[in-house]
This record gives sequence, C-alpha cells and structure tokens, in this order.
Amino acid sequence: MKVWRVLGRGQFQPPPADWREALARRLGQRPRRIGSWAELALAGALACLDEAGETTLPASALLSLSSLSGPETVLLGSVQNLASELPMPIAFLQSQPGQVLPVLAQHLRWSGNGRCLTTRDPVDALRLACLEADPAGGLLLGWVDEASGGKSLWLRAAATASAERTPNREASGIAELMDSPGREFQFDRQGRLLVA
Amino acid sequence: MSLPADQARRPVLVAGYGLASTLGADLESAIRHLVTRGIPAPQSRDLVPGESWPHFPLTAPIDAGSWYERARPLIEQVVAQCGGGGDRSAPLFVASSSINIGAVELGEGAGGDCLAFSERLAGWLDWSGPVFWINTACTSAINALASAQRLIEAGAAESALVLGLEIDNRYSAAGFAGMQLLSPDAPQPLAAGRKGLVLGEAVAAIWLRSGIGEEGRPTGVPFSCPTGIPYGHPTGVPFSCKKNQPTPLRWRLRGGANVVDGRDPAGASEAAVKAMAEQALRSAGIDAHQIDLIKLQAAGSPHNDGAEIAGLRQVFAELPALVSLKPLLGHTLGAAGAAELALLLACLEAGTWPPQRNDDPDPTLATRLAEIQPASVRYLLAVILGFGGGHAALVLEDTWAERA
Repeated sequence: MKVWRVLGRGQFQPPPADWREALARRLGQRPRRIGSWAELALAGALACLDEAGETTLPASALLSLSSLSGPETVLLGSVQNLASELPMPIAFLQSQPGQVLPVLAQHLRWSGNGRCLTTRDPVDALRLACLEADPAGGLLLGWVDEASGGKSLWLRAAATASAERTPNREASGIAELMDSPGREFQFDRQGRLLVA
Repeated sequence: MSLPADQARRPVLVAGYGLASTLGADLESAIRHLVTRGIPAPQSRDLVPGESWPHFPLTAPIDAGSWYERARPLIEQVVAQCGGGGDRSAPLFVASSSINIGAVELGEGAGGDCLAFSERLAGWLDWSGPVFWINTACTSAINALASAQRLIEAGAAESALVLGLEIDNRYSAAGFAGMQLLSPDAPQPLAAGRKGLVLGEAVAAIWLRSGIGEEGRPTGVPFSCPTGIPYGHPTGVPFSCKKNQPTPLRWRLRGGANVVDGRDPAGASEAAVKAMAEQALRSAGIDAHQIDLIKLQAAGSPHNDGAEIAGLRQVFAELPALVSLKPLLGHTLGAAGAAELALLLACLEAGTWPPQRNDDPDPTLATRLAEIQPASVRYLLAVILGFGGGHAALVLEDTWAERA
C-alpha cells in the first residue's frame, strides 16, 4: 500500500472575516467574474499550496474538489429569474461548479486531471484520489461550501517512499489529516484510512 | 472497497449498457430509429417567453406526476437495460451537470445539498454502495467511467455502475442560449456553416466489471445481456443477448485521460486536445496508428470543432474514421460520455452505422465524417470536450476483433 504524506493544508472553516480582501491583495486585484464560491475555493487552495511551499501545482497532480452545495446562491438566483429571462452569461458560468477548475488552473499555474467529485464521506473522495493520482505528482483535494459561514478545506499530499512510521491506526476521518502538518496516511486492503 | 496488495492493473470490461434518449426509450428503439428514419430532427422548446431553441427531448417522457415521479422509472428502466448494474454494494457514479435542477425549476426541489438527489436515486435502485457525483460539465460521464475503471483496476471494487443523466430542465439550454452557444438549426458537426450546439436529454447506464473472476482467472463468460434482442455480428457470427444465456464480455476499457486547461473556460484548446489524446493512448498502451475510429465531440461549435480536429492532427499522422453522435442525440452535457458510448457500442454490435452528414464540409478542416462503418474497429477513442476547459477521452478495445 502506498503511504502518503500531507504536504500542506488549507483550513478556512470559517474563513477569516477579511478573506476576500486578502485574496485580492495576493492576486493584485479582485478576481473577476468568478463568483464567491469559486473565490472561496481559490483562497483555500492557495493557502494549502503556501503551506506546502509550492507556487505552482505540478501538472501530474490530481485536483479534486468536493462540494455539497456548490455555487448555490448564484444558481438558485439564476433559476428564479428563468421565469422571465435567460440567465446572464456571467451568472450562468458562475452557477456551474466545473467553472472553478479553469480558475484554479489559471491561478495554480496547472493543467492536468481535475474534477468536481462529491461524496458524502470525504474519505471516499480521498480514497479514490489516492488510487488515481500519480504518486510523485500527488493530489490536491478540496471541500468547499458557502453555507454555515463558509468552508474551504484543502489537502495537498504526495506518496512517500520513506515513511517515518507505518500508518497503522484507523483514523476517525479527514479531520485527523488536517490537525497537524506532515501527517502520513495510507489505505489498507479493506479501504480503511490509517494514520501513523 | 478492498485494496489488494498487488495493485497491478486488472482488465476492466463493459458488462452492460443502456440508454434512453431522443431516439427512443432503449437501444433497440434507437437502432430501429436510425435504420428506418435516419437522423432525427430537433424539436423546438420554449426556454423563456419569446425564446425558443431546438433541442432533442427524451421520446418517452412520462407526463404524469412530479419531476421525481417521472425521473424514477426512466432511470430504473435504463439500469435494467444494462443488466441491473450488478452488485448493489459496488460504487455508483452519477455523472450530471444538471441533476435535479428541473425539479428546482418547478418548485419541487430545493437547493442546499446537491448530493441528495444522487443518494435519492441510489435509494430507488436499492443501491448500498458509495455514491460519487461527478460534475465536470460535458466531461462528467467520461471522467466517471475513468474513475470507475481505476477503482476496478486497482482491485478496490469488482464492479461499478456509471449513470449519465441529463433530464428535463430549461436551465441548461437557457444558460447556453444566454451565452450564444446554441444553434438555431440542427447540429452540423465539422460543417462550414456550423452555428453551435443543440442540447439533448438522455439517461445512460454503463456497468463495468473486472475481467478477473474470484479464482483469479479471466471471467470471459460472466453475464447475460439484458435486452433480449439479437444483434447480427459484423463478422456474421451471430450472438444473442438473451437473458440467462452467458455471452462473453466484449469491450474493454484500456485507458483514458482528462486535461483541464484554464485558458478558455468555455472553449476547447488545441494544445489540450493534443495532450489529452497522447495521454489517453499512453495509458492504453497503444500507438495512434492503432486507433481505428474516433468518436469526436464535434458538437457543431464554430471554434471547438476546429480546435478538436487541429489537436488530433498533431497526434494522428492520418486521422482514422471519425464519427459524431451529436446530430443523433443532441449534446447531452454531463451524460454525453456515457450516452454516446452506449449508442456507439450498440451500433457497432448491430452492424448499423450511425448516419453521418457531410453536406457542407468545412474545407479548412480537410476531413469528413465516416459515412460507412470501418471494416474493422479494434480500438476506438471516445472524446468529449467540456465547458470549463475539460478535454477527456477513453480508449476502448473490441476484444472480439481478433476473432474476425
């Protein structure tokens, strides 16, 4: 079984009060036309790469974003207006979860295998990503929702050939991978998430 | 899902497939439509007051009841078409860019939890396995198939069911209309006068399973095709898909690729198409010259059709036979990868080539769609290009081709 090491985490839950302003300062300007959900995703992903010490995401990295509600605010508003008019192009684009992928691609300077894939248990998304990801390029996984104050949780991990300790204790969930940097984990034959 | 110590790649085979579309409630109806009536004409649909656009609706809509009451039997019968999907504790992938937005439009559904509809659907099917919802716009189903393939290859599952859904809603078409991406006429892939997309509705199911049985030997003869419809084999060797009559699995997923390119959120990139094709071939372990057929995206988009052909030309010294299914199904968005694959495989097995039009070929593309079935199709490349910079492809192998 491959052992993975957490290289970085982005943990906005909830995001800081000034997260949008901080993102604008970082990018040099407010992101244009991407909607608040995509901005939240971007802010968390950049914070994750910061901790990993990366300025770009390698092309061989798998990017997978999970969201239970997606860009719900824009979507529901746009659907409501459908009684009288076509959606405005920007509103329609912002209502499509997949549109976050080119945004992330631009700002992470990445082009590769990416998707919006949602599961009820975050561990299922992680397990699948570990099976699909190139071990060297690793993976960047995110869980982003605007509800309840907002959440943008990100995990950057890559396979390691030299684990400090063999992960052998079943984790209670994704949260254990987020609680300290450098956490090592693997999935056992039964698909259980094990940590060191 | 269990993970074996040896994660060598196990063969992944198509165990069954089903489709409900504008061509009919099932694949038998679809084939019959193509044989007797050819390319369907789109119908007009009112999106908002004063705005009507062509589209390809499901031909067997169920008129009574709520959106959910109409969707449920549709999904159940398509899953039944593909053989039921096998082990209900296996992974279920739902590929859809619209999910239940049609219900939300009608005030019958609420937002807040986009996974809830996929789980509700799983409940209709008595599905206990993990549910994955993939939404990468048009590449959703292709990506779902690729992920399911990887799960099975790695031994984390013995089978998986992939459902592609684009069901009755106005929002998708209205959005594309607002972005001026729709055609006022029937779709014209690769044509000089192509004007854009015509969307369609579809429910498609593809059941994948490992080609290795419990004893570690290739299964080869594990399933009975559910449709009960005999198809003629191109080589003249008949095979029948009658219930309870085991039939060797035929189509193997060899590999695939997905490349997200951030430069144009609404358009295809020639460079990304090239990268996608190269990676798909590499993952399949074959060379470009071995591809006998490419199922294109070719939706009739003024820009994307050209980018697709230009990108493929950088990989294929000579383009193999090309086919587009958009004029037959419409662009079924998140379901497209599964819907088009189901129809194509059915056509190949039936020896019924999907009708193609070359009335007005674009001279700058210097290519045409194949109007007759290639003499032999061992390897095919299925391409879907997606809204959001997605470029996805699968390579399939006809394992029967060597017998021909």
